[in-house]
Amino acid sequence: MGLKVLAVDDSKTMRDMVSFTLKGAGHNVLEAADGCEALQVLGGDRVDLVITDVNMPNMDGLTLCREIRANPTHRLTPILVLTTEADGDKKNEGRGAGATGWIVKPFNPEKLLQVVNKVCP
Amino acid sequence: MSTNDFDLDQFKATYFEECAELLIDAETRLADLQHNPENVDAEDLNAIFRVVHSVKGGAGAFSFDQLVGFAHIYEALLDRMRQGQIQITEEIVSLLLTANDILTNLIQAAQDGISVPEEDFVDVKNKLNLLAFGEDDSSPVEDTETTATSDPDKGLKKYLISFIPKPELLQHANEPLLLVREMKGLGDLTTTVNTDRLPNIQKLVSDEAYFSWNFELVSECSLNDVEEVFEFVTEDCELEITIASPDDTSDQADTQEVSETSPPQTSAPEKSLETTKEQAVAAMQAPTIPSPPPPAAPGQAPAAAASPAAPRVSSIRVDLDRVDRLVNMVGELVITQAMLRQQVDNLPPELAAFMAKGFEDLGMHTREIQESVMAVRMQPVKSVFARIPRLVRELAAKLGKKVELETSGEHTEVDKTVIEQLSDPLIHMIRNSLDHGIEETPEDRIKVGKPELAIVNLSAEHRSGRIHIIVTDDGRGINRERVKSKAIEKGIISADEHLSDEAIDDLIFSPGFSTAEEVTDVSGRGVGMDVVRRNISNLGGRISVQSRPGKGTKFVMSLPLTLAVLDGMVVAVGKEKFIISLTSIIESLRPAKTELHKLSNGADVVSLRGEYIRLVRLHRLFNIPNAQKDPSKALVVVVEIEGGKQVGILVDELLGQQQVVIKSLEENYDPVDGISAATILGNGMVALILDVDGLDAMARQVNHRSDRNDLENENTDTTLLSENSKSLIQTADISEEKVDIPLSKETQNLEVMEQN
Repeated sequence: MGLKVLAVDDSKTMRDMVSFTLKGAGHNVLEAADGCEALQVLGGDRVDLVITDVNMPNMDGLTLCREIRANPTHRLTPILVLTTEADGDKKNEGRGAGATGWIVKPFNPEKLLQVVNKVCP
Repeated sequence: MSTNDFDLDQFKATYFEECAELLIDAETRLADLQHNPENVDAEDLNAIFRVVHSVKGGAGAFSFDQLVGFAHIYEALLDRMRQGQIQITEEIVSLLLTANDILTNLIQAAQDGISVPEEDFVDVKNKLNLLAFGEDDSSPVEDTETTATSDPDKGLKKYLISFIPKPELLQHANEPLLLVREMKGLGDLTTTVNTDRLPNIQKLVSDEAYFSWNFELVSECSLNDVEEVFEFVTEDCELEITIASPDDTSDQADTQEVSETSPPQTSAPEKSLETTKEQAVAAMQAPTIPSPPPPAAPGQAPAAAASPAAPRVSSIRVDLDRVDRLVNMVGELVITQAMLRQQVDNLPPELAAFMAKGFEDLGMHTREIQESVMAVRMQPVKSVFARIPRLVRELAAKLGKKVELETSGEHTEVDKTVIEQLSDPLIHMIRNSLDHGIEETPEDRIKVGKPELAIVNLSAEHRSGRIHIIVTDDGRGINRERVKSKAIEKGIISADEHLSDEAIDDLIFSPGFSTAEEVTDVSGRGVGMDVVRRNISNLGGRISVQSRPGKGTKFVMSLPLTLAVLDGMVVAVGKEKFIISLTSIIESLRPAKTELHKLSNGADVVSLRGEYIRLVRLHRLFNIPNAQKDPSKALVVVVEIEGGKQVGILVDELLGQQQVVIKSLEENYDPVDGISAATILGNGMVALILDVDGLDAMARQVNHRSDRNDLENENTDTTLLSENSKSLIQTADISEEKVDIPLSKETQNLEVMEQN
């Protein structure tokens, strides 16, 4: 059964690719271009998973993580952070902000689905 | 699902489109930095960082390795800068500018499917490296995948895993059950749950972690694979992974059967046992290190946290095709509306009055829709202007000149169709200013008492329904002596010709004119200013030049705001109807017979307040029967053409002003001389839109053909008018008297006449 996934990235290319991959795997995808838009899209609705970039205008990915965790509705929604940096710093920051896991770029469709599978029932 | 199901190539177009936008943003912000290095806006640095970050992210997905490599170092430097670890100096800013140029080149190369020779940018790369990583030669992208060697010990291993989750694990939405599922995928798993920590149900807190687990995993997979299962939770649990002694053969024998039914994953890269042991130790120690306390949320990013309340401009991306279709349909709607409106006049009066009111409203709404749709396509000229700083930098470096570019009015909006056409002439104007306008060397400037740094100013503004793009430089101005001698040499003007300063300046737009002694690789791209003028004029625009010797030169390019609709005057010639663009019309008049003169070559002129204006007889150019041939009984529409000259177009009558939808002749038919486009009138008839510059050129050519219908007493030994301005002044034979007739106002006609 498909998941309802919110993909957040300021790059349309990246959103398109994430979206395409997830849809290909039978999931439903909502999109947002930054943290603010993501919170608007989320509203009071539940999603099964949030995938977000870190560096975005208006509201970055880490702030988005904290905002989502602070909301009782989404407190336990898995959040995956897309990072380019393979170093531990960004991962720790992500974790500190409440992220569930991370996907290290470059973007790779198989890897994405693998990780999604890892954090979603 | 196979890799082919996820062919990412289809996203390349979006990526490059996005890159183009991102680069414009970066350019603009870099220009900000350049002008104000002492007082840097943090958001500028953040935004440039994000640009490079996004470029790199996409490049990685498409395996543009060269681009990824460079973007990585550039990004790292920007990251250090935005964290305040690197002082922003002029040198740094200029390095960033160069880096941005290289990034642009690499993106272009990736788009073209070629690679850029490394030596082209290795210097900059090293400089960036040094600043970003403090080293000269770092491998830009660490690739752990390829360094992994295959596991020499491929046999079954038994892993003993002790896993004690902390509450954070659940709070981060990780789920122990999913980890168990994941491990089951690796091999044969035995799970033991330890419920010692479980309190009395009344004390139970929902997001506290009470269970802990001991796993026994028998699998062929590497330690790395096992660790990967716990990748996201290593900090949120106490984890111990040990490998049971390899010589524990009984276990291996026992589990052989099972592992065959659930084959372990072997696709993942494996590391040598030596390294995995070291990692195992590290992994076991890791959990004992207390995880850092979560940073205080509000303090972390106050600006970002505050932004949700701030009003946001929301926008959507729409395919240009769709907008174009809409514009076209609205055009059709306007035409249909006008057609219906005309039919109303044929109705009986009482019905007509009733309908008229409705049509008035309909007309208003249609017009409003049209304006709204046109507004959708309006874009700030910023996208074109953003390319200019780089051009100026590169040219200045190539020419050894010191030039600063100032821009203003980049938010001035103009239709997308115009934007697309704006770039080439603008680039040419800028090249011209840098190459010819500004003094040869900074020293030359100091000698004439000017600051070393030359200023080129680029601005855009709306003026009476058109957009004006103005390029000003503070260089030496046009060298009129040189221009004149060149023009004489090239046969554009005759040696004894008397020209005003403005007329001499205007010569640089003459076909075949170039003052540069030899074609430089800067200005001379095989395209002269004459081509620029022709291209602009094809868009219904004008270009003119003003120059003050020693002070500088100013180019003014004036273009319509849109190429989709036009405010025009409908005129009739015989049974034909034509449209003349309102912006080019100066006045309309019916000349008296005494004001009409005929040149020896058959050209007609009309004298108007002391100036002579060439007449263009439409009926003759287009062979229209039954037109009014006597100018004193017809009307002359005086229009302005290239270079501020005027010509009079002979028409039968003016039918009224109307906004018309422009239909391209090139696209729907073929180009026609003297006609710029077509439109459909309210009665469904096609009317042609006149190209006044083209008409003038045609009239000059046609004039030497004798038109027996019109010319009864043609003088046979007349001088032919040629297309170029050499023939502007001709010894002419007007009626009985012999005078020189200058045909344009800038030739200061009367003075010349008296001299002769």
